[in-house]
Amino acid sequence: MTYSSQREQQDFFARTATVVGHLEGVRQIANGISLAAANAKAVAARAGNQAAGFVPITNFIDEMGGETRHLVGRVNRDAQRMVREVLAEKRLGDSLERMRRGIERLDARSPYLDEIARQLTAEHAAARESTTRHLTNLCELLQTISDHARAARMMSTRSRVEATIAGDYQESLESVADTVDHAAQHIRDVVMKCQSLLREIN
Amino acid sequence: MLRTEIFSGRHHWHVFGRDPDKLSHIIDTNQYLVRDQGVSFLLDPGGIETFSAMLPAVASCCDISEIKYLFASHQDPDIISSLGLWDKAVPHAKLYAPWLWEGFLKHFGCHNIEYVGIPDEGMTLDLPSVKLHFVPAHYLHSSGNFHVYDPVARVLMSGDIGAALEPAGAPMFVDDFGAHVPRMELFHRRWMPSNRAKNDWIARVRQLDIDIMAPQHGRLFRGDDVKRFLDWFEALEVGVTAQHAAAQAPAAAA
Repeated sequence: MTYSSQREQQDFFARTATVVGHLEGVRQIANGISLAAANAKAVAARAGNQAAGFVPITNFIDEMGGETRHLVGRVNRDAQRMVREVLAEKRLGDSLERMRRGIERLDARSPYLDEIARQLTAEHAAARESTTRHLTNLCELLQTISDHARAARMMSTRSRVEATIAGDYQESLESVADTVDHAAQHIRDVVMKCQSLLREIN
Repeated sequence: MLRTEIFSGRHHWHVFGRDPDKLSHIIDTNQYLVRDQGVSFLLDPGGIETFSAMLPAVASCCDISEIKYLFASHQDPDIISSLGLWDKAVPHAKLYAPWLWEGFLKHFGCHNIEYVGIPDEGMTLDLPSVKLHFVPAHYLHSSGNFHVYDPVARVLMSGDIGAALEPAGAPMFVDDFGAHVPRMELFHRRWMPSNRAKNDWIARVRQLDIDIMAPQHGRLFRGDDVKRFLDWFEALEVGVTAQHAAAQAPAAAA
């Protein structure tokens, strides 16, 4: 990761904050998926044997909605922690720079201050490494959410097939499948936006 | 950063200021160092922008690792926003500062240095050859504020009291008190909020034997100029803005 200039850091903060904001929206969509799954379960229960093939699908979608919510919570926490870490890293970098400028102006070398500068350099490098690691983890988590959403879209396709044999309940079950499909597509779109934002700083 | 020794005995006082490389948009400040037999005490170490100049200036008169104590008269950024940097440079040191500001000053970064809160009534600090006194100066101008008195060197480090707003490169000592007054007047009228606090402080300080009064901005006072300053300050009405003064002027004229 490179964000040496102040402008780049400001961009980084803005991007990360935007990602956190987008993900809050994803959490709400995931709640909607769980609600749709609960609705589908109720419809399937009423439909009995006519919608027997629908039950495992709704169970899967329900689990996926819960898992997505969990992942989004984790990504949000990680993103917020990363912002804090970047701030700490910036402070360390600033301290190091000011310390170096002071040391350059010394009349004679100071082994004591050289050691302080060496420790600060190591601390700063470790902080930078940690931030990079967190950014990589964040991108991986986003990919997992995207994969979940893709699986949900596949399930909604299967749901439509199952709905065709549900007789009177076909319309209700198709509506559930549409809700899940739209939600999953929305999640993928948002996650792609987030990935694109983070890719620029990774 | 210029360094001037203002007292030399068994221990030494140095003042740092008039930095020729200082950024033009920040106020000039005086930083002080007491060096006493291998123990150094840094008073109002300055703002974050001053640190890179202060570090070599201090290193020119003591080993940085000798700095065992720091002092912040109050919480202003020009006094102590360098704390986060000194926290890296002298992690073993203790910071003496008003107890009132502990939670606030730590926003500047204080992970290693130990914060010693000075109680409202003040306290003393033992250096190898002198006991320094933290003298209360609350509401002058900060609500939690202390000065440092050295009874051996007869130096009173007086924080913002006695401060003057001057162009760069001003001399280190006042040489003509009358000419110096206009440089101090606005600052004291506006920054010092309480006549009562001012009079309490003057009464306290008049009991001290002072050769040098050393403010955090502008020139230092020595000899009779210390008494002249106290008399002038006593007569000055403080806590007055330009608007107050303008509003009072017609009433006074009527």
